[in-house]
Amino acid sequence: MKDYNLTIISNNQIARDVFKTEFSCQEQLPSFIGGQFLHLQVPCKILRRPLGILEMTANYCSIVYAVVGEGTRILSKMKKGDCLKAMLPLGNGFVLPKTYKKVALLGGGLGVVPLLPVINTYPEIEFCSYMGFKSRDDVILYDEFNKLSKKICFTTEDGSFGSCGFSIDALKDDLETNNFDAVLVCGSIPMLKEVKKANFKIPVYVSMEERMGCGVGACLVCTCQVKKGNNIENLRVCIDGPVFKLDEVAL
Amino acid sequence: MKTSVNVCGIEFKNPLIAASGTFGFGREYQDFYDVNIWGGFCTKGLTYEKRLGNPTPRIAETPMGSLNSVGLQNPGFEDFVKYELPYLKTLDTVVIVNIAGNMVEDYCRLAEAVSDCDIDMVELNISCPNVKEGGMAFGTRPESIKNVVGSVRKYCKKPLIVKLSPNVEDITQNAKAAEDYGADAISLINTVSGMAVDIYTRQPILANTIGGLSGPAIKPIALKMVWQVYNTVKIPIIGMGGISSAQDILEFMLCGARAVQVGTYNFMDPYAPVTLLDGLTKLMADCKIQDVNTIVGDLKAR
Ligand SMILES: Cc1cc2nc3c(=O)[nH]c(=O)nc-3n(C[C@H](O)[C@H](O)[C@H](O)COP(=O)(O)OP(=O)(O)OC[C@H]3O[C@@H](n4cnc5c(N)ncnc54)[C@H](O)[C@@H]3O)c2cc1C
Ligand SMILES: Cc1cc2nc3c(=O)[nH]c(=O)nc-3n(C[C@H](O)[C@H](O)[C@H](O)COP(=O)(O)O)c2cc1C
Ligand code: FES
Repeated sequence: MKDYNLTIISNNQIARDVFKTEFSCQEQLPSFIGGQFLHLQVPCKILRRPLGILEMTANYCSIVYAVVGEGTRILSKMKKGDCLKAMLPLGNGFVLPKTYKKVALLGGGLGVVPLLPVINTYPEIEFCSYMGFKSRDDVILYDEFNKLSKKICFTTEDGSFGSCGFSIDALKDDLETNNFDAVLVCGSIPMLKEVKKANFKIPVYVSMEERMGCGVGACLVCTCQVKKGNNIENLRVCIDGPVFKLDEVAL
Repeated sequence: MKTSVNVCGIEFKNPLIAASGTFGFGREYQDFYDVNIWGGFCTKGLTYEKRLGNPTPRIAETPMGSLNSVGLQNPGFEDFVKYELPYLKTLDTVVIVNIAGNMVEDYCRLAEAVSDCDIDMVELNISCPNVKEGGMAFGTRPESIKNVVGSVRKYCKKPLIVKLSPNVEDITQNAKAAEDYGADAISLINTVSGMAVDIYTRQPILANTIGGLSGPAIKPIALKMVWQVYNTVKIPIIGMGGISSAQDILEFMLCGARAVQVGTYNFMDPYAPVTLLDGLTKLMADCKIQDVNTIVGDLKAR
């Protein structure tokens, strides 16, 4: 973990209210595990913004984010050559056992972002990607998932792109015929509740979101209630997560 | 150049102390720098029994500030001794344990237990705005401050810092009450009570509705209170509230702070003490200050 000086090399809109920012870094960037995030300084803001790492190589990294509030709006207006600091890589990412052979990725909206790099983290695992969006204007990272996944299914709620419906239903249809070792999920709370209710009989790992202060485990603002045996514990999304076992988190 | 300071007979290698609640129990920033660079550090508020704290969201951003409602989540005294104390003993910096409770008896029991541990000072948090039952209730009126400080004093065998709330009628009366009833030092300010609203959901942003404001937004309030308290009590003062530059440190010291605490700035810059100390020595050189102690309270009143 370090705070790196990043320089913007491009900052482009890639879907409705969604931007991709690419950075270069003079220092050598570390390796990372899909699901880990960075804590990005935004001009004029006190708190940093946690954003999933999409790609990261020696001197390059990228993020994809929705403009939802002031911080992401400022970020979306920044220009090539502007500099920002980012603490990275933070959190524990999707750590998978060596025995896994085939894994399903289930994403909704911006939740697809941290799932993409998982594919490159585990080259020996076969991934099938089920990604859902509201409408075609919201679809992101189709080409990237298409290139890297064994099987891909993109859905939109209005049917304007890919299949009509929800990504979870597409996955349900495939569960019987595929021997998935696990499902990795990232999306809205209603979507996570659906996944919990569906009660897949295989391990489900989830990447959680919570507002953050420090990003490194020191301030306790980002807690998530997690069942450990018979006890409920408040774990920190930033350092104990953001990835947890879905059946252990209280939604 | 001298940056070391002395508070209640305890030597700090520099005036910077990590503020309670923003620095856990001192482990989390080890990847970024050697935490012994701090003059001292204050633990997260400890209660005798474990506490889970408030529901989330627990933080919001406000203009030049941050609003939090953690609600004293902490592992409780027994786990503190088991899991945190052994690590704290290895540190070469002043360790201050911040304590809180629901009732006077809780504070006394914890103060006694903590005093028997290998730590340097105790900071009595009677000013947390984020728990209903206690905390701030003790810290708002001189009568209750006399009661809690006087009682804890009998059990606390370490130098006792009393941390004051800014959410009060007259900070000077509270400081005086703490001094009269046995405080060895005063630290201020804790967070300023506040609220943030989301117009789209029409809800408060914090699950707890209200929270405590920290960061640069509260600095003018903190400076004023440090100055007022400096002019009221004789015991040392540790100042805090929005410190985010070397200049801020000198401002607090001019107003009478013998040392300062740094909280929210840790979130802005994970190398906070490294950046601040570097800035402090440069600024002292620029301002021809040989010994940082010489400026304490040296504000030229108008
Ligand atoms: C581990 C993690 C990974 C994330 N990855 C992505 C990603 O890859 N792409 C993406 O678009 N979004 C991601 N998010 C959500 C993203 O952090 C928020 O959308 C963003 O912080 C909003 O900032 P803002 O200034 O625009 O909003 P504002 O509402 O103005 O922000 C105010 C404060 O609330 C916090 N906040 C608001 N919404 C969220 C939220 N949903 N989660 C966490 N903090 C929030 C902000 O960080 C800031 O501190 C991630 C969140 C987490 C915790
Ligand atoms: C997330 C957070 C948690 C805090 N927890 C505590 C606490 O447990 N006990 C306490 O005495 N003060 C607590 N504080 C208050 C700080 O110690 C400090 O008094 C206040 O934040 C003002 O300083 P700052 O502006 O430098 O942050 C907390 C502050 C923050 C931001
Ligand atoms: S953001 Fe500070 S503990 Fe997680």
